[in-house]
Amino acid sequence: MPDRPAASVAERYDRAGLLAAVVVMAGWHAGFLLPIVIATWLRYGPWASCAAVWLAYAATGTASAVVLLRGRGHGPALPLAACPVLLAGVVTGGLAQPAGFFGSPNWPFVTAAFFALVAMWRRGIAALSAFLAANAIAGLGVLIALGQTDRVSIARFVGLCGGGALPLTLFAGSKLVTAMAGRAASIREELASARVAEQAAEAVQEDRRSRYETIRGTVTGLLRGLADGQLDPAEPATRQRIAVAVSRLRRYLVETDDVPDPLSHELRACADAAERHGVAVDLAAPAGQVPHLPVEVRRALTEPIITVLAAAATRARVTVVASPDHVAVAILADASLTGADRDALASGPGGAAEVSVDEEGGLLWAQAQWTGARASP
Amino acid sequence: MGTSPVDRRTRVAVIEDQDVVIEGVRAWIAADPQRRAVVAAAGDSIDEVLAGPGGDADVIVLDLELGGDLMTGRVAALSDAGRRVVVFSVHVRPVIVDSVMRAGACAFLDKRTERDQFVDTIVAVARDRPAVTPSMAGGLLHAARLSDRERQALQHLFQGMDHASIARRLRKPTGEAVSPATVKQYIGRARAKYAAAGRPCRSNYALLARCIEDGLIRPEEISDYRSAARRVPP
Repeated sequence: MPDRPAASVAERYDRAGLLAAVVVMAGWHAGFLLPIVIATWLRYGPWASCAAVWLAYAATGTASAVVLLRGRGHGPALPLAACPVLLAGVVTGGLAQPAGFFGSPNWPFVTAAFFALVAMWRRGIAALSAFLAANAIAGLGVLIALGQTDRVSIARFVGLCGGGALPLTLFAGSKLVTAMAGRAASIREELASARVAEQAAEAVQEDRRSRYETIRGTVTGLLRGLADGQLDPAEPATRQRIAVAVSRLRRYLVETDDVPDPLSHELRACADAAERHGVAVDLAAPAGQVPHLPVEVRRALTEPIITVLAAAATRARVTVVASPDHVAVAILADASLTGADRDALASGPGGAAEVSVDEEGGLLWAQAQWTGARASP
Repeated sequence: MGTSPVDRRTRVAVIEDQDVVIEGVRAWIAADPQRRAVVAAAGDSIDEVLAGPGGDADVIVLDLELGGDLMTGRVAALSDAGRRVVVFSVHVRPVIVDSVMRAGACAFLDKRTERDQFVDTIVAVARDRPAVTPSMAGGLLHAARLSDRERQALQHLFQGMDHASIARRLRKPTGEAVSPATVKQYIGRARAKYAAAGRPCRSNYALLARCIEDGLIRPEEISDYRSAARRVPP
């Protein structure tokens, strides 16, 4: 089954062409040739009428149509089965003519080419050309066997062979139309996916623009305050506001991933929230590729970070170290927690992550680790 | 480092396009109580600074973004020419830190958060000693075959701990804490392994030679890492 719309469009065109060829073949065989066969039988008898050839061709055509309309016929089996029958018909038809090769309608020679066109629908144009050549050689053989090698007969024969160009042209034309339809559909597909990518890029751009506006607002306010003397750079509160603005700006510069992994995205949201409370957060880009993590693991990893960020006084560094089966999220901040809070932090929300906490010299370090090996058994 | 045979001051060339940052760098270097370094030249163009008194500086401090262009492409040529380059930038994404370190930079300093490490880093680099900042540590974690201890030390460095805090967390099997000097050794070995697996250039050779001299890594370990690096194409 085609998994791309363009392929299915090409397939539809191919099928329509095949159906047309089958209808023409059936109409020609039943509507035009059958009366001729009957008329010849009545006049010259069964052998000259080639009724057996007509039946064999009908059987070959029906079998080919069934195989192809079921979507098969890509291999050499169908042509190998059909071609001997068709060529035998050409030879029989030529020898059976009561008045020489061109005496009465020698239909098997011309008809074989149309039946071959259907039988070789799923094969290349080279296979069909090869059959037409074989058909011409068979016809020439019959002509020689009948002794009709005079100049007029050969000229008429060459003219008859020229008729073989018609199925070839039909075949090539149909394949061309199918290829063009497929190309057009795949161009439409490319355009559609380009449009989707463009929309995604616009969304990312819009997101960045709105973040930039927020940052610019913060920075402009600070600069104005400093310029007109309302803010004193010597004041710890002012310095803290500057530190927050700086870390926000820095995050904006570092932020590049158009589709960030969910863990980094959540940590960024936590950092943004902490900054609004005046903590300068240094959120490092993850070291290593963060694997796909279930939501409960991500929650277990971010929970300790949120707790420590909420307790941080002025600054914090948040890091992620990741490999396919191990993720460690850590925070180092000037925070202090009460004994109960620390115990709650260390016990963790669900056990999906192993939490370590350590406090030293006014700095609190907390790390939540997940290992794939432990989560899977 | 006080016992180092190199007792002259480290001469630094600062390439940076913002005057306020150059002033900041001068101030940090001047504030070093041991007065270990001095700014030999400063300017906003690599070629101009190196053509003047900066030409024989011990260390080049390079802002990665000059006039809106990223200078990542220049780092390799400078390292090949035997210059010790310390990249100083706000662009601390691992992919950028990795690419300049691979090109042969001796160290990377985060412009916003690593001013405290500034003088220590350039002095270590001037003496071809391994210097690893937190912004570099994240990249080193995945770039070389590290022992568990080296990995833990780097991970804690990346998380923001200083050597003393890392030492407190890395306990020996007997339960006692390791010394900060041991932590420095772990981190130095990790840096040497990174250099050994990295691009063969003069800055990496100088670092490895000094690490062997200091007994941080053995020569046979280096050939081991080189052949490992050759087996795994970058």
